[in-house]
Amino acid sequence: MSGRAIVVTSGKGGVGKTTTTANIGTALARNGAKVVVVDTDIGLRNLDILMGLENRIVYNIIDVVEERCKLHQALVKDKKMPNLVLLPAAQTRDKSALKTEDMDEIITKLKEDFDFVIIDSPAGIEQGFQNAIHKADEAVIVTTPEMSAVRDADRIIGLLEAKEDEIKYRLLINRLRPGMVKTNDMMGVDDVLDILSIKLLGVIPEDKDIIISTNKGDPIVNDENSLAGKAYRNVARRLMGEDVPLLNLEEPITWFDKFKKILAPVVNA
Amino acid sequence: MWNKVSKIIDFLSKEIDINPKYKDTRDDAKNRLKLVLMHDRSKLAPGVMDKMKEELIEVIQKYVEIDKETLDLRLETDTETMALIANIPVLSTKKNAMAS
Repeated sequence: MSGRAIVVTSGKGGVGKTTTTANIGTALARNGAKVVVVDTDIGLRNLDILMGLENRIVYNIIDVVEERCKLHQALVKDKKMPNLVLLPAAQTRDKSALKTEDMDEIITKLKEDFDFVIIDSPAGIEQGFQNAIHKADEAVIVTTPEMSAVRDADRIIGLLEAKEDEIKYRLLINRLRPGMVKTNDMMGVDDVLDILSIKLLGVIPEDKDIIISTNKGDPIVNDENSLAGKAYRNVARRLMGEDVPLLNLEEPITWFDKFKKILAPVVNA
Repeated sequence: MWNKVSKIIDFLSKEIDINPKYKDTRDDAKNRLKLVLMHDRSKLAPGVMDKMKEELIEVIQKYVEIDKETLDLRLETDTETMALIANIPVLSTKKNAMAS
């Protein structure tokens, strides 16, 4: 078996790489695929927390590299799904502990056993990022509709383009606030796509349930009622090749909007 | 109390577009970003620049003899445009390339 290695990356920190990794991985596993999520953020591991697996870690990726354990021993099984595992990062080491060749070897091995290898890249464009993208077949570039995040995404696209082995990449717009887009206070999906000229993988609305799901250590895709959860489940389906239309995130037009429209000519006169 | 009142006024003024603080910033963001990215992207990969330089020299040398050592080629950006600036010292014109 040769699975697909998909790296989740962004350049800028805090836009939702790890949340995206946890949710894409969990959603793919919910659909029956055999999935491993890999945390490559050495020294700043967090994927374990989002998956709710922080108490089950025995070994980590550096233990594998330094041969203190076998690869399969370091894989932590998900609480709910037997076909989902986590390869944790080391928390007490730094980025220099992981070399590109080691990373390549691990990803190659994992691809033999899993349908999907989802790699959570560290922020930045340094060695840790280079390691994360090196063996990936595809990339999910995460951005928010903010200037700084979009700028960094553009830089990432440039670096992926310059990569030796071709890599297919798509954009995930995270934390979109449709209400703010509607009132022209935030860039919308079209604005971001116009600027980056890149294929869109999905749009995730800002959702306070994400914070709650993080508190619980249970990815939002497991919450059937959440809009962000549904958006992430759709992203996973698209990754599996299904043609799923974008969710309608438009907020219904309120009486106040109508009132505003009526009043606008008077106020602006 | 006043805090609440000012919050309500803030909300209302935003909703009916009378407070200049709340003018639409979506286009501001988009336009500023476009400009920033034009600058960011203007840095061609060093390899590309060298290749372009070589090919340019090749073409120009068909017609004039140039000083390859002091040739200067670079991309310059100002606030709105980007330009390819070339300074190519010509040593002599080639006789067989002169207009007949």
